[in-house]
Amino acid sequence: MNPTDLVQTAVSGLANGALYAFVGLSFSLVSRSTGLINFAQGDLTMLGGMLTAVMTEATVPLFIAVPLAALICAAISGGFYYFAIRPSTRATMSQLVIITVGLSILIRGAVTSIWGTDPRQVPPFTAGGPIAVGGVSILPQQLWLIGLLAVVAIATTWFFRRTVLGLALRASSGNALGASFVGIDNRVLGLFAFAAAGFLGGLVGAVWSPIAYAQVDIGVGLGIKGFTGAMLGGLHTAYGPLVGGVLLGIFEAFTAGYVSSHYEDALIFALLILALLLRPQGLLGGANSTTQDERPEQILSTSVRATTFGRRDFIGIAIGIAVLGLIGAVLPGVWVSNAIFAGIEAMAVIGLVLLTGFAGQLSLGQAAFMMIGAYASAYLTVRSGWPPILALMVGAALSVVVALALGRIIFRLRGFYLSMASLGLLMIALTFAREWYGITGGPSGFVGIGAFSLFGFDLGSDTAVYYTVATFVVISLLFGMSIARSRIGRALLAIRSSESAARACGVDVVGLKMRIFAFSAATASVGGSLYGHYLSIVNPSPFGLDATIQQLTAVTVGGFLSLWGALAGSLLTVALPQLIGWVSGSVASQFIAGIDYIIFGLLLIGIVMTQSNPALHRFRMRLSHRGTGAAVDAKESVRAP
Amino acid sequence: MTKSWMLLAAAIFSVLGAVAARAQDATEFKVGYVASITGLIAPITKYYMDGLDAGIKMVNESGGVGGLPVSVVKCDSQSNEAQAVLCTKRLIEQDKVNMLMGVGGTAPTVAIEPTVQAAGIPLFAIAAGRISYAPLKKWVFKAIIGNDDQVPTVVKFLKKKGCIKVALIRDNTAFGNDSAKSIKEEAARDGVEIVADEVYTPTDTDITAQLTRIRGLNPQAVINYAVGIGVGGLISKEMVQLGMKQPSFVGMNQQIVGYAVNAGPEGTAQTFFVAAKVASAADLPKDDPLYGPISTFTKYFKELHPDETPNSNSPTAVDALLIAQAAGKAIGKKVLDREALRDAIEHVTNLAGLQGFWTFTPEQHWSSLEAGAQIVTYDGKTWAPAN
Amino acid sequence: MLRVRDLHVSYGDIHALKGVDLDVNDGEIIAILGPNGAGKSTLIKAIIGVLPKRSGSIAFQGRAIDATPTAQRIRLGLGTIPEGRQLFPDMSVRENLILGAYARLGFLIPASLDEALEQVFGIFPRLRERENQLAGSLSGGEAQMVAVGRALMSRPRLLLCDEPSLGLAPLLVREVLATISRLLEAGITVLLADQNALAALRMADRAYVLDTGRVVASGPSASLAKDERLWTAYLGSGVAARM
Repeated sequence: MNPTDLVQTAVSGLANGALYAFVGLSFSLVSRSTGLINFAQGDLTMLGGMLTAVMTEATVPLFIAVPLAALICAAISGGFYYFAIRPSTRATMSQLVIITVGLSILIRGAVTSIWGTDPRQVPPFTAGGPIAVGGVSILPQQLWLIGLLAVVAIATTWFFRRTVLGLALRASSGNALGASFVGIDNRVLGLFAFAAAGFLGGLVGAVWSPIAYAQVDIGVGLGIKGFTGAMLGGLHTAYGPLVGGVLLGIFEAFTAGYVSSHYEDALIFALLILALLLRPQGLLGGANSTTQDERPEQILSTSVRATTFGRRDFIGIAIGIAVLGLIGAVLPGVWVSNAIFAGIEAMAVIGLVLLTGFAGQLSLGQAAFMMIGAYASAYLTVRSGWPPILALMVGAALSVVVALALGRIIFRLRGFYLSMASLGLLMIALTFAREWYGITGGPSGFVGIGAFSLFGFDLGSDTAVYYTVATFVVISLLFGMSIARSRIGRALLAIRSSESAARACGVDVVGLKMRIFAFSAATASVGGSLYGHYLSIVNPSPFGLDATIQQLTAVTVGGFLSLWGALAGSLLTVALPQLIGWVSGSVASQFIAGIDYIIFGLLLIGIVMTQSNPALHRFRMRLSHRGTGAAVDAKESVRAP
Repeated sequence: MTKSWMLLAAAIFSVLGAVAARAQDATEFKVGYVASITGLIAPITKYYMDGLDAGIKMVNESGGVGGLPVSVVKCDSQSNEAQAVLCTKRLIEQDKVNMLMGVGGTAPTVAIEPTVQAAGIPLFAIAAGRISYAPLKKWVFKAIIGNDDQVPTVVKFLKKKGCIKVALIRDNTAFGNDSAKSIKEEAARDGVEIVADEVYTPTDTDITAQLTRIRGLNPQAVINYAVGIGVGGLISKEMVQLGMKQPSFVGMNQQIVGYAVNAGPEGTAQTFFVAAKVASAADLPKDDPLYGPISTFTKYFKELHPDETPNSNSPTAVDALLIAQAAGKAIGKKVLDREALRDAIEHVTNLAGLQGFWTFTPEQHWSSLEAGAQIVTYDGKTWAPAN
Repeated sequence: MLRVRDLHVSYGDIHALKGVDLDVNDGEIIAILGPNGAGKSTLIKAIIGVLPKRSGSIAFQGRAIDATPTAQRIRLGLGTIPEGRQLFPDMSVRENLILGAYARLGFLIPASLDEALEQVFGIFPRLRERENQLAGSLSGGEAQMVAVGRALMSRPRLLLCDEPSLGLAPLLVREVLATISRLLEAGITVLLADQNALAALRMADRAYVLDTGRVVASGPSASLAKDERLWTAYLGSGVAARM
């Protein structure tokens, strides 16, 4: 334990922590003012760095480029709030999270198209090499970052305590209705908050990029870490994001340097989950401050949901089966393959419809269950020679066990906190898949998995796989429909509206959440098993954050409450990149590939907007004749007299 | 309402499928390239594609393949296995390509192989992992300087220079993992001790904690294998920042000018790169057996990209075309017959490509390219072989 | 002072106010009575501008305020004690009070506001002790004081009180209503909506009775107290007939 190394590690951690603190501050600003979490905050930071790099390459002087970059980010963030969020008055929490995910994808697509994926250098504010003090070195730019952080922290504290606007922002997030009574215009505040957070994000991107580099993919991880830091310190407190971010940076450095760099990310996420469970208000948060994300979501459904299987359902199922059967026979090969992947994803999405759409629990960790199923099938068939159907069932059983065990812990959380906890569990699972070399084969995983077979019949051809997947999809659909079209379905909707009210009506809230979570885990697991057999290889890479976002998109496109919509949404997310590629022909390039992401992002944003803005309702894609059960504006929680 | 959506979707796809089935074009040789144009492998793929442009010209202006002009159809697999499979099927069925090459990463390459085997079409694997082309697969051929060529070059160089206590830092992807495995195996063979194996996530932006730990172990050299170009250069920069004076050795994919920009001048001065001979084309002696193809290629490359010089990634997607060309010399227009093409490839012997000499046999669809790999350094202007 | 004509307000598909007419003159205390769900809160929210109206007109001191944002209405002299008080729970008593003056303030909190705060503490000395306490931790009575004080910070000419007695113990109810009636001496006109009909009538000069969105009776409080329509509204026609 060399003392120089110790100090060096701490210094590096501190510098990183300053970065996370900054990002966390932006999250906090938006959250304190609007109650929202902007998933794209990290990408705005990336954009700030990127814009500065591009401008300085075009010989714009740094002292112009940096504020200009920050202003552009402010405009993008504020503009996004104004055009996409503000009009979406009936959006539920999940939908708002998804709409910001759409912005994240959109920004990354635009950057890819315009400037490509190469990393870029940003010039530091002051020239000169690292400053070494007795074997410990720090970069001048890191000092700039820390200094700027101190200035911004003091400024924001002063702002929230001593200015009218700052008080108004806090008031609005504490009680939006009360705020409107004293004349506060909540929507102007929201605009300000988003623009200010965008400015801060862009600014810190420009200040920090010279230390590392600017590149399109670094934003997402940064956002997650900044958010984690803010949560640790206290998202809604003045200094919480600051303290939490710095502590996180130091924790990360010491874990990588002294514990194990292999498990560093798992430990960080474990810390986040512990914080969410044990002290959600953060280190600096007061005991009775509003902690849990309690946005009351009142679903005023104008159509009555059915509680039994009706004749329409039977007809629908019959037609659906017929169509699925027809597709397998009629479609040319590659589109069957698209349909297979879509069907596999649909297995996970069906569970999500019930878990997120009906019960309102936004879980970002479903890919973990797909992974369990895939690895179980891979391991048991390749290493132990089991028949695939048995391996598949074991995988599903294992997923259910894991779901019940972990669910009991994390479903105590609600809203965005639950989402982050589930995401954290997924990341931890990915770490284990990567590192448990003996069991999982490490990052390269398993190869040579045989085709799925049933009672000795090898179902290897694309057509055979398609019909296998379609069968499982239909079975899951039937299970799902029997849940949705029953008292349980109504109970789930009640849970989504208000858990305490549901409990008061005798609904076993915890038990139902567990059962639905287990169901979604089982279907996802089966999907994962089939995936492994079809692809013949299994490794951690398909089961990460990208998979989660793809599933979220599918649920959103499908309409949240529609099981058939799950199929349509899955098909879209799988086939869209292929469709775009086919349409753009052999002009494949980074420019076109970026367009792909841009379209994806716009689709997400646009679809959520049509679902949650009454003025745009006529553009809604009605994938279920039962309607999507739009939520009444939760923020204003208007009550009938 | 829902059912009409699904019927509509099914109808659209069927129509698309029918319309998209393009007729077999007997007047050109179509190559399908499954490329990771976005995602993790994107930055390197850009260099693959830049080189490919020059390669296409080079092949077409020297008789094409089997006398037919070559055209390349690309599909973005997004560094994603499922999309790689879909791309492959689309290229085979709808673009009706005559041969395939791909994919940037080892795992997607392995993922598309069942499709390739089932369709019976030659695939040139351009992924570094050995498992993508070995053991023998009927339709798959190696077309890249892989890990088993690069790694011995590095480790033997280290041994030669007396560096027997070496630290390894790499990312936690499959690439990093495979590289680490190869490095450790080769090191054991050559008597080099790997004293540390530190990892990081490719999108991490600060690796000083891991490097501080390595600094404490005082190794003689650091092997820095990264799939991401940004973080690779950053590690060099941070080593300088931490006052680490050891040389670092980076993989072929990092042998680009961008690395030097990220690493800074001091970091670059301390770095040794594994490179293909193409990288030091200017210094290549005229009697070097690979001089011919490399200088021709460089000429075409400069025409298309006057501001850049080819790096080790540039020839990656080109040798596949050269091999196909060589096969075509034996069978002429029969290259359009996949079986015939495959058989002809299996008989290509001692072809001077850009990355080394290619020899295939029915029993072995790969050859050792250690001769085509070298260690170079960069002084800000030219890449020169190290000694 | 306040003139409401043919006011219609809807919540989505629910038609909450169906053509309400209302007059408030300077120096009066007006009571709005009616059972739960009659539209009393809706009326107040529409007057202050928190709820948009569907049709009809609202004029304050001769000036149409239909299109005026809430902040401007407050500057013109309208103040509210909202139903349920609607304080800001994570902010201190002092901050809650300051926000009462939001509509009149610029960017920085001026020192001159201390004077107004002193006046409020003068009326409610208990609040001075709790100045820095979080509003969410106050008792019901204290919270009500803050609500009233906050409304006063905007120097209202017409104070709209929405169910001030809701959720309070009877002793406190009397205290609150007494405070409100004292406001008249300070030159503030009061519009009071309350379910507690008798208490409200005792305080008020005139009253309106609302039932399911319509005014079913209005007039001087003395005569309204005996009006059968008042009791019908609360209790239904069968019971009222027997009274």
